[in-house]
Amino acid sequence: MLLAAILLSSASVAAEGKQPLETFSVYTGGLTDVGQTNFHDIWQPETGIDLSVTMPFYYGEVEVGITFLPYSALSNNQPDFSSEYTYFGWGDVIPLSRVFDLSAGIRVGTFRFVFEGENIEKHRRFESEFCAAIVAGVESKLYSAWSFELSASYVRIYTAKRIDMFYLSGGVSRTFSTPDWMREFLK
Amino acid sequence: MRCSHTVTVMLLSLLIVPALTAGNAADDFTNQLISSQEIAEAGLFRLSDLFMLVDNWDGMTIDGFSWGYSVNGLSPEMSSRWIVMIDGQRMDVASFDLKSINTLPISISSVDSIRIISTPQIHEGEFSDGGLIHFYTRPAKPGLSLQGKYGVGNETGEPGPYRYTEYYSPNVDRIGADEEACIAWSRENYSIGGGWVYQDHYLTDPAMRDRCHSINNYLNPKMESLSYHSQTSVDVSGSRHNLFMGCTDFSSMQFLKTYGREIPMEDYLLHIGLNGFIPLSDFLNIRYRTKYSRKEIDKRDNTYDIYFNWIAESYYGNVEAIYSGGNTSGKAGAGLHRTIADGAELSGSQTIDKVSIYGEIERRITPNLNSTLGAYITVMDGESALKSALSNLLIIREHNKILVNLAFAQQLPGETWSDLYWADKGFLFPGIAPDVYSLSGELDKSSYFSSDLTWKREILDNARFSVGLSYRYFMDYPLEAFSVGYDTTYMTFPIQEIAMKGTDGQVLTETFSVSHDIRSRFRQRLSFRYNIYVEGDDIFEEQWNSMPQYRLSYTAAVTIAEGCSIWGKAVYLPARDYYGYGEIETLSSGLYSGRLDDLLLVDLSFQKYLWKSRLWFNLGFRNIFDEDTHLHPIGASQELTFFIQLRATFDSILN
Repeated sequence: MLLAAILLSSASVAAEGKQPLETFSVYTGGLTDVGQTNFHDIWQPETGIDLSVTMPFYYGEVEVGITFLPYSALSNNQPDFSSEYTYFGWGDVIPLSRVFDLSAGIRVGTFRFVFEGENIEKHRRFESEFCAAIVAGVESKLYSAWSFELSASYVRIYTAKRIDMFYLSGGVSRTFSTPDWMREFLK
Repeated sequence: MRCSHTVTVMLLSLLIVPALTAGNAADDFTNQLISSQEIAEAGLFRLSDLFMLVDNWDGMTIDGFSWGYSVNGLSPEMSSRWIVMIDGQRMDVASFDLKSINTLPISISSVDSIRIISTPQIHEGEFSDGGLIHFYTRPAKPGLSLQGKYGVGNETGEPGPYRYTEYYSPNVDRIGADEEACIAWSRENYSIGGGWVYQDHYLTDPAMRDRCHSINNYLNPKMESLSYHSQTSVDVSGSRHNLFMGCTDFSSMQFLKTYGREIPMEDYLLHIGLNGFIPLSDFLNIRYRTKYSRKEIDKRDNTYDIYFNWIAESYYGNVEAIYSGGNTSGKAGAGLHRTIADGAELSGSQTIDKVSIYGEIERRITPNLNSTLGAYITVMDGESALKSALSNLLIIREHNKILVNLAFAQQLPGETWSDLYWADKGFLFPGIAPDVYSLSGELDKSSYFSSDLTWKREILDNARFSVGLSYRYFMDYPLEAFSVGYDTTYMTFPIQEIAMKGTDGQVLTETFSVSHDIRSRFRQRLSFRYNIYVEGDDIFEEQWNSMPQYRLSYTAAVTIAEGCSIWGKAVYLPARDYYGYGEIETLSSGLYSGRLDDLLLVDLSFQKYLWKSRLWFNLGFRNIFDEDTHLHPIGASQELTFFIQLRATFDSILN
């Protein structure tokens, strides 16, 4: 399956004529969690920030990113916390029309909980868990190197009792040519 | 029926071996050589992870840090007999029954290659009765070289924010962080270097958390290992000399069967070794190996005041003459290994000498037949043991070869360095009253006959298969007869008596593997191994059947671009009943089980080199299907775990 995905991806990269590492796109946007699980009966999300950098790779695209999203406890028995979701991803873009592209991919990373509250012991303030996600979205060119992006991702956090989140993110991205020094570094 | 099968195999072996000789030309045929590229590609985190790359070994672990290995069926995994070496020097890593290659004073990223020897043969002055692992360290590049690495693993299954809810569960700590740094300076005829390695391992798996916590003064139980090493190599007039020094301070908390629980100990290893070769003529070389090592087990605070005080100092010297000329080559050598053991538990210091004399001859009998015959005699504790190996490599065509390896080896009790050997010498385990626990039985010389038949053939330009048949006949093989209980108060596994039994038994192993390589961009390998217990004593059968009856594995590696690859491996092991732990399911009310479930273990690794290979980044996933991975009834089960490793290497600075 992995091999098939890579071969398909290879074909799409070739079709679009994207050269590996030639450009990179910086995305910034807002996000929220619209999941409705047991977890969301205890904590409610607020609005967060999503930052990522995407780059054409030898097959498909790779990305690194981070999201910041605070959660408020619905009861005084639990602390509020801020979440920092740092990820590494791989995916690909398929042109839908002249205006829109469809993107899909996978992400893995760590989900860091930063608990707030005076009663929390110092060594209990931070917890970090592995998480994995699938993501899909649409992109549209706005002007020159600017694009508008909307995406949805299903995030699973691998705690003893799994936590599932459903993120919606929207924002803009700007594509830059990769400087020679950075390309040399990445090779 | 089974016996006739065995006899057929033996006769077949003898028919294929028309001449009484064998050879080191067969080394690369029978030995597995693991390169630094394979190590990096698979994202090995610690030395013990090399097991992930070897298909003819079975492994078991309780804590995930120390492993027991059965090497190609040469011993059960619970009584590992393998030898470990670094750059031609044997390392004394054993502390009684405990052996942990992670306590070697080097790290996995300083390894250039690993030679895995899975058939009995003479190697670097030692006879590999139970297999041998030889680590070759990375040679220093000209000029100044610097290397540093940071790696950490995170096992899933922690409570996360549910800690503050009704769904609370205990914490499962990370693996590592492990850190290391090395520096080396090299010129044309010398090199000097050194480094340190730090490893951190928590014992917070649910299977062991409570019993480890309770003996560790109710503090978070963990093991730490801090090692230093230095290496100096000098070339003088064609000769080469290598001085390797290393020390490891291991704050250990390993499971001791005698206590039925983990015991906190400070475990020190100091190794100073000098080896090299001196060419005397075009045909004759001299190799020498000397070392001093000190193994010390000392006090580490614990709730029950169980304190070890044990020192074993070893002095070793070996000289070997190597002849090579025409169709014949050979070597002859002798060595003396003196161990002086002392400690509060022994009635007085004890000196144990082991003398070894050996010889090996390799001859190319015809252009198609290469043979090697080796004999190795050990004298220890007033007894002698003969070990011999004979291998014949038949070259049908360049890529179509058959190897037959026959060996007969006797083993003396002292060579096992086991709990029972030292108990026999008068060692009293601290904190255990003789009326609570006893060791009984005789420790006698054991022996085995082994036969390995391997056929390798290239099918196409890029594919080859290997078929193997191995037979083992053990005589008076020392196995421990015991049955484990369960103490609900202390959550321990007490044993009332360990009785040593000399057992007989026969086993047969069939292997098949096929490898396929598409222009080095995509490589895959399918391997299958099937173990057949033929006949033997009851304990032998039960202990042998504790190991997986078969093992099916598939490995694939895709090179995406230069310095960027994805590696994956899937291993399937069937369910089995583990010897000695049959009662614990009832006694622990289902908390533990003596039956290990079948297991599908899938690992993935992604690597990318950056900055012209100066930086290396690896993202590894172990057990991606989150299976129950118990390899021992009371051991940890590593859930889905991910590893991140970053290594920086700067070679040939100031050159």
